[in-house]
Amino acid sequence: MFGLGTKKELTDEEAMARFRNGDARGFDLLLQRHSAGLLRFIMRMIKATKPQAEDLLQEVFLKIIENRKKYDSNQRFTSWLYSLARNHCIDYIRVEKYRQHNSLDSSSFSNKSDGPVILDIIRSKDKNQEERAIDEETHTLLNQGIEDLKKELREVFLLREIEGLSLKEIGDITVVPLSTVKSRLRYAYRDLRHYFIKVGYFEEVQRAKEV
Amino acid sequence: MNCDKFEELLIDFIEHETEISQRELVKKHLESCQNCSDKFKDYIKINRLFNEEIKPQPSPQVLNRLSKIARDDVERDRTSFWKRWSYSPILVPVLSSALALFIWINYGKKDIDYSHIETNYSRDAMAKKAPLPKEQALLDSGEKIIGDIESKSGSLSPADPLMASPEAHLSGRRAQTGVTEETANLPASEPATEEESDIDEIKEADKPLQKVEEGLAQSTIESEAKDDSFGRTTGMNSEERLEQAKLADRKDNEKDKGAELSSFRESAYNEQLILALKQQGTGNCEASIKTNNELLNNAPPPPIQIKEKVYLSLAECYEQKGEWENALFNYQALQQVSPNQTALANSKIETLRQQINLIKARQPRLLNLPSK
Repeated sequence: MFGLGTKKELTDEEAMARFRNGDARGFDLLLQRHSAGLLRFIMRMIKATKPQAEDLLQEVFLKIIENRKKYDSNQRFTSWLYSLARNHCIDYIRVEKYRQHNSLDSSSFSNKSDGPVILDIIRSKDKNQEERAIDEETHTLLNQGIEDLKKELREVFLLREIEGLSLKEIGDITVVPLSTVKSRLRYAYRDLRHYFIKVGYFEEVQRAKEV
Repeated sequence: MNCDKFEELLIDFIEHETEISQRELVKKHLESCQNCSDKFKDYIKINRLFNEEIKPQPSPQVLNRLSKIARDDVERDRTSFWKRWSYSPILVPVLSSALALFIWINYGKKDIDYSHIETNYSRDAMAKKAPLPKEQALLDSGEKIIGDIESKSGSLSPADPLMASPEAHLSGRRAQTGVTEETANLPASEPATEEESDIDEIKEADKPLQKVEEGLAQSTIESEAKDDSFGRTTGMNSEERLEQAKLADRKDNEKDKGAELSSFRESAYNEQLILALKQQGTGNCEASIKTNNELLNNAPPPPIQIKEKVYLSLAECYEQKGEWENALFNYQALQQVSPNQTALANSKIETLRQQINLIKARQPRLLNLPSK
């Protein structure tokens, strides 16, 4: 599908440098490597369905195409990519929040029901073949647990544990010092653990083991 | 290690970013503290759960669309680069040379325009009367007498650098030769027939005086002729100067427009003067005097060179007419106006005074005639 897909030896930065210099295959390689991870990050960040997340994904990669000549080879490509994605997500969340505030005049309680609604959509429509391979209940819990995290904790947790970026990179993307990144990651783990204990997942597993 | 410290180091421990010494401490604490051990196990579970999750794949349409956009963008950029390349080496030199040519042509046109403006500028009322260059005018006029007089009296414009220096040279020479010639010509017995009628009233006793007077008049003419011939024999020198002056004039041609104008005006005076001198030459003293007086009364007073000749002419006319005191007055005026002519004027004045004194002594009644 992509011309340079087999050239694994190229780093992200080298591929981007090629694209900057007019080789579109460099972009294809980056798209192949990062589109799935970015899509998941966006979906988790904005708590949205796959089509919505894909729209944002396209916007992020269009931004990459548009600004390819401004790319500095010394900068980590993933830092740049996720930084752009994060900014798009923040903008999206802000607009969405404003839209919800205006359209849903019912009560502030409706926010609480938002989570399950989105989850239902994901569950019913966006489950593709790969997702079905994971235990459905676990998947739902994971999503819910992450969605319940504060935005700052969520983005750090997603970037670190799902996308595998280094703590320093996360610090660059989220524009906070390394110590803050570490503490946020710790709080994210703590909150998730509390959530899983709260929903009885860990206990159930424990029980199952015991049984 | 307490539980709080463990909590701080736990993330680094999971991330494999703890130092070896700390790692040992964490392991020891995990072994000793059940609570922290459970926490650690839960964190590992969470981490594994998320890592096991299969990533959702973006649809191929989205990826293809993005890929196509990227290729198009690169292609567009490449095209624009080639366009730039083709523009720069061909269009830029062509355009710049065209511009240069345009400026060059325009500059050329402007040059022509300048000359046109110059001709326009020279379409002055006085410029219409612009004669041929001085020398040419003198030669072409065919009026030798006028030409001689011109050269004798240095009538050429001082403003004209062509003639300024030779004129001064000639007049200086004349001033030197004037006295000697005068004295040499005093005993000249050549009769002046025109003057005889004018001095009919003077008695026989006055004839020697008359001769002296005639001699004076004649000497002037002769000295003029001699000066002229002298000027021509020494012409080589003056011609060289002329050449130099011409060169200088060509360089400063534009600067001398004002001077030219005044020389044109002067030429108008010259014409009038020439007329007066002609009249004098033909013996029409009255008309000559009248013309000379008109010339002197002109609105912009004529230059010194003209005045000088006018006074000389007037003096001569009055002498011819026998109006001694008028002649004396004009010689005095000449003396004042032209320092070059002082010697001549002085001698004339001296002669005339003597003559007047003689007449006074012999014929007191005649004195009334010139005073009228």
